[in-house]
Amino acid sequence: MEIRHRHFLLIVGGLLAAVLAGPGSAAETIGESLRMEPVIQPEIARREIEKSEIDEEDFEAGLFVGFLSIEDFGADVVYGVRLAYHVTEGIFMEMTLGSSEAGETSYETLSGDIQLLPDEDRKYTYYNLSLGYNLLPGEVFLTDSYVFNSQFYLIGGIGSTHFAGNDEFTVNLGAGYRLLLTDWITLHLDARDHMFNSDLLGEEKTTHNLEYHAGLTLFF
Amino acid sequence: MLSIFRILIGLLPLISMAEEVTQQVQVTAPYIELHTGPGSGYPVDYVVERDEWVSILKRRTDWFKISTRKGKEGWVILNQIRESRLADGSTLFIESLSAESFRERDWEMGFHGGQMDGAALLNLYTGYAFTPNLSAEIGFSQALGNFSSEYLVDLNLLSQPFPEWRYSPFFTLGTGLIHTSPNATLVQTEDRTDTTAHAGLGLRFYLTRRFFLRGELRRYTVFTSRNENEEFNQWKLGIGTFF
Repeated sequence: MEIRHRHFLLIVGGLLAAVLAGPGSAAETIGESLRMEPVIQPEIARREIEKSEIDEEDFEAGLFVGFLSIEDFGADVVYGVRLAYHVTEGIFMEMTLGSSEAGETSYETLSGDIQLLPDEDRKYTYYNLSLGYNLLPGEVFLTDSYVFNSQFYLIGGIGSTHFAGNDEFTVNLGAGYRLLLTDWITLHLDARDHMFNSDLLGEEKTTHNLEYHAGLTLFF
Repeated sequence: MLSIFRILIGLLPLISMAEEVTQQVQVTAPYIELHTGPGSGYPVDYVVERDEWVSILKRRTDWFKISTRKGKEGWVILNQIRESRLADGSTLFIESLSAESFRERDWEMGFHGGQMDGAALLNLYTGYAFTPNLSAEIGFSQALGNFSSEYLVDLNLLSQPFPEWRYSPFFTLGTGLIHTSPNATLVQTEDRTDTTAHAGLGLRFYLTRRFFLRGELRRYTVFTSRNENEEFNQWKLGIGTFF
């Protein structure tokens, strides 16, 4: 209402000035008076918040331990580290490093003292670069007073496995469950299939090495 | 047992509280919705009205954890608080991510998959932009061949002549080390490390939000201790993020 009022006064003022100055420059003077005093004052200045002023927690790092079943070589304990960067609420990038030890093939066990691999080549280490998607956000009600957020995610990526003295290009696919104890402490349960081609036992084949693990991570 | 658990859970927020920097803002939107978690899938369980004061506790991706004066906490999406009012009367302005923020990035990082001299290639890299046109990068790669495995560390300068294009080409020039380690199933030969130089060209494509795609072709020269230098090509495709 007030703005309209001022607008009206300006126009009247402009017209008066125009009449006084002479008929030729009426339109020009109105334009000028409008230009000189803007009708609507611009909003107060914006202040951009420095990144450091708000604590950003998009990285997640932690440890995990579980079991890895190495095809033909039995299952053994696997442990490792994980580092993730959360790009959006759904998508994250993850890097994992893991290590395990292969057991004996059933052939070695049955035959007695034959060894297919020397002991130092039984170490199984891998790293993965993966993309994950938080598919199902949810809440877990532990008691009537404790509620935890959770996320079920799908994950897959590429990486390398060092086993039996060879490095193999490895594709991993899996799914996991993240339980947020607080905003920044989480528990993971994760199941992953590590696939690579191997000719270790004669014929070349795609091996499936299944891993499941539990992990603890911190957001920072 | 349960009581120890309760004490532990009770202590956790105290530890995290120490590192939080809070920012007080006044809500200017008609109302803002507090979700129970940092994602649109989590339910809304509280609503804060216009003119109320809230504290911003932390940020995760595009979600902000806030606390009201009454102590209620929840997660709000960027759009709802990005133009809230600060104590000095100015307006809080948090940039939402766009092609423009991609152009103004400082850091980028990502990973690639590809091929090098017939072997499968994996690469992880990070880069820092000095200007929109010039950045420096460090990359770690592994090439997984049938007979050997090669590890590369590369330092390179990258020039981007048209940073404002969505499909933005770049040129790169760099140097590094290559370490070759033969596979164990073959007759054992020595591991060796050589110096490399490379030149390449590539393309970045800003996808959306914090993502871009990147492809690159490089020509490597390896300065070996033998009479002839080795040369080979490397190509890779990958995904990156920036901040």
